[in-house]
Amino acid sequence: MTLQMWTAALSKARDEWEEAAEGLNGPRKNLTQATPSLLGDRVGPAADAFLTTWEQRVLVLRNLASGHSDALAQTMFDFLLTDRESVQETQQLLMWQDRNTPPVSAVGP
Amino acid sequence: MTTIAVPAWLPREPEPQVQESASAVLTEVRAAATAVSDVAEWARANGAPADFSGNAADAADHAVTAFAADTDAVSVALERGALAIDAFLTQMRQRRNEHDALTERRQRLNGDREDLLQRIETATEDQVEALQADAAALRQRFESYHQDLQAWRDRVEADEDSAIRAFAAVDELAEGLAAAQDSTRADTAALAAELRTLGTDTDAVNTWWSGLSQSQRNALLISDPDLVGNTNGIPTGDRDEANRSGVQRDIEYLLGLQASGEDLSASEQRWLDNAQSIEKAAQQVSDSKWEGLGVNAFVMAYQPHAFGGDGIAAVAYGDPDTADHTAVYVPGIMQDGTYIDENGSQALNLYEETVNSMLSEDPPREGAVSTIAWIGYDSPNFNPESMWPWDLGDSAGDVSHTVTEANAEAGGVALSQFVDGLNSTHTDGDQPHLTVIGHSYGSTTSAYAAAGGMDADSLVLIGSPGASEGVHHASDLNMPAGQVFVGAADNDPVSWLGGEDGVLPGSGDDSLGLGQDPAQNDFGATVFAVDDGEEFHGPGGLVDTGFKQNHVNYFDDTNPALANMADVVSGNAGAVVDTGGRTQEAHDYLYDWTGDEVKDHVVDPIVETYEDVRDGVGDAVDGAKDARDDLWPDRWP
Amino acid sequence: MAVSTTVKRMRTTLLLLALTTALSTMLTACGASDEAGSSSRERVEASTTERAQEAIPLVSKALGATGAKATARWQSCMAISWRYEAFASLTAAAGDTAAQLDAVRAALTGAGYADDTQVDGHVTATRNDTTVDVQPSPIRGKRIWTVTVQSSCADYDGDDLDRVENDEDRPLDGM
Repeated sequence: MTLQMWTAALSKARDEWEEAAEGLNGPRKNLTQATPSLLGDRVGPAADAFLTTWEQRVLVLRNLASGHSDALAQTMFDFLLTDRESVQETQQLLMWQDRNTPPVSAVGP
Repeated sequence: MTTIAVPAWLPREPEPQVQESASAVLTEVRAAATAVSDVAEWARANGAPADFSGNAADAADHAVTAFAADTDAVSVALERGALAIDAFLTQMRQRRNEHDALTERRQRLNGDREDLLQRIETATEDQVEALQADAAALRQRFESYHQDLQAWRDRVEADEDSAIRAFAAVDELAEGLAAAQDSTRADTAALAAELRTLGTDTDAVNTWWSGLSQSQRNALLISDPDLVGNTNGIPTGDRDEANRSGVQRDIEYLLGLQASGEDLSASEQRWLDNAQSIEKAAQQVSDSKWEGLGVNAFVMAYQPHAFGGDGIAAVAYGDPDTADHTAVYVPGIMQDGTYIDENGSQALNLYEETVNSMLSEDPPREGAVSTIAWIGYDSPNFNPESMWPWDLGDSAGDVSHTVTEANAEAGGVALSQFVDGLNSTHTDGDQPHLTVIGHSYGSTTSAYAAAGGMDADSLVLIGSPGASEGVHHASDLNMPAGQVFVGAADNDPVSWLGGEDGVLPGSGDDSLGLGQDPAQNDFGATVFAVDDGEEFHGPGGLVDTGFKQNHVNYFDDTNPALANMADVVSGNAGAVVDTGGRTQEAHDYLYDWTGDEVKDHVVDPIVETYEDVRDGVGDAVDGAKDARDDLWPDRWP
Repeated sequence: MAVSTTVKRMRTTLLLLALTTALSTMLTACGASDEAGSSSRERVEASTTERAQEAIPLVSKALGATGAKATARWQSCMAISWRYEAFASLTAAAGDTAAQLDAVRAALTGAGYADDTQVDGHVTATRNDTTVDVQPSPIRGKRIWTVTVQSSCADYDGDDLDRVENDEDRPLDGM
């Protein structure tokens, strides 16, 4: 396995997570902009609770996605990973088809 | 003294709080649902496949796989919320109608009560018995009103309860996850595939759509708004809802990119322009000029990435599915999705003119109207400023693009299919009375559509550079007899381009390939009166006055063209007077103009300047005449 | 004569090229220029506004209308060029439509506008570059008439183009 495959997988995953995060900005704005009071005094509050739950959830997921993206960015050039746990953690962030890509081990002189 | 019991005066019942404006909430929730659904789809594609039979723990730990489940839950919850709002809004619309009816009834009852009170005041003893009977009858009617009013209030409360329950069922995370697992969920991938296989059979599409449950339609509209919004045969209201949520999703996404400090790429900027233009086209019904019309807008097409980013867009003013008279306006060169709002205002002008025309008849004629601006074909981006020789090389590609028939032909097919959709989605059994109006290059496209069998009732060609290749006579356009109408201003240079012979004399078959000039007398169309525009001089005048004024005044209030088009659209074509059309070839107008230009600007000045030198004058005039004759012989071709 | 489509297109392009080359060669001396292209956006706004502030009250009075609310903005001419337009809708006094049109016509021609009416049921009057059109518009309500005051159509570029393409309603003062 090569260094290129590892960094390519990381780079791709980083970009994909970032795009997912961007994709969740819009819906968050839509839900914040919606005016539940237009649905009347009784339905409005029920709609408001609904909108709030999901707007907050979208925010959580958005932050999760951008967090993953940042984590991968940080890891990208750290190809001296020897800690099995950190390797596994990183692999779990990759796209499914890339998930078994191993990092390269430093080769001595 | 006898007393006559008169029921108490009926107080006003407040209007329901929920008005049409509440549909904005639905659009926002759907836009959000659609965008989240897109992210969920990405995650599914990059997560563990559904049929993964390996170690479950592996799949559970995989971040994208978990993310797919999380976003899916949000998407389903939002979809359920949208469904609840949609159902609630539909119910509230019905309640508002019922409220209007109750209000009318209340006013009548109060009026009758007043009458009774007045009669009682002036009553004599022998009238008392009859008045008692009247009062009893009135009391019964009042009682009946009270019961109906209470029943109405109960219905409103039931509708509200239903919506509240629906929201409560999916306003917590766990509920979203459970809903995602629900096996009765609509399989939108399968539904989308089914819809695609129906292709261009608009009747089949319409039947299939009617057969879906509201829940299925709602789900498909959220998972595939671009498909639902742009498929001919889907009812206009549903196309509108799908497209509006697609537009809002796109606008929020692109503004979000901008807000995060990123510069939009050129294609993203064009995408945003397309989205904002169709949004504006829909919102302009509330502009101060148009709000008096009281008309609703329907976004019938939105494909911002079509034709390399030029975009497809269509907006209807008035619902074509219920209109008695529908007009589809097909604009000309240089039009793309970013101009849909400007083209929409032509459609609004036509709407106003058409309804006014009907109301001005004696007796006034009722009837619902819909006018649709449709940019659904690839219109060439010809820049008239680039007619200077040193620019022509650059835009020569576009110029030859303008003169090629291929795009008009393809456009004709798209237009014909759009019209098929309108015919299939029209409710009340009958097809609508449908007029297609093509301007400039759009008229060539419309003519192609007609020649290919488009199912419209009337065809109007204005400012036409040609009625499409292969059409020699109005009868080749397959319209019902007498239903081809043409408007061509004498000073509109685009209308000088048509002809099956050459542009210039002596040059054989070098026509621009857009077909014959339909304003010709022997073409056989009804050529109506128009404002002929201003004469102009010089290449500058050709562009500034000819192209940018005379070619674009057909929809002006001051122009007989608009009044004539309104007559055609409203089914009053009998009122359109045939002026007979042109008896000289279109190219002769060009020839005459260039001939005049040469005469005014070369020959006459020479004569004036050298008039005291007779021989010099004679030679100069002859020389100029010879020079002119070398380029332009005396007759065609 | 069978000529391939590609050759036809090339020839047409060349012919158009020849045509415009010949024209511009012939006409260079006379310096072809015209008025419409040289109007500045601001001048057009100012003159159209002035005309509107004059014409709309005249029309309103002729129709026996009480007060007029007018807005103005740049509008497109079939999405190819641009004109400045003031728009007002008025509620006229009750009356015979033909007589009211005559009254409007008289008011405008009396103020120096030329009668340019081409469509029955309208009064169209022009003065220099400005066109005023008045007509009843029953769709908007009983006895409602509309007045539009427009400049001619022209093209703009640069900042001016941005401005005309993205204009919004603004109220017209002095109504």
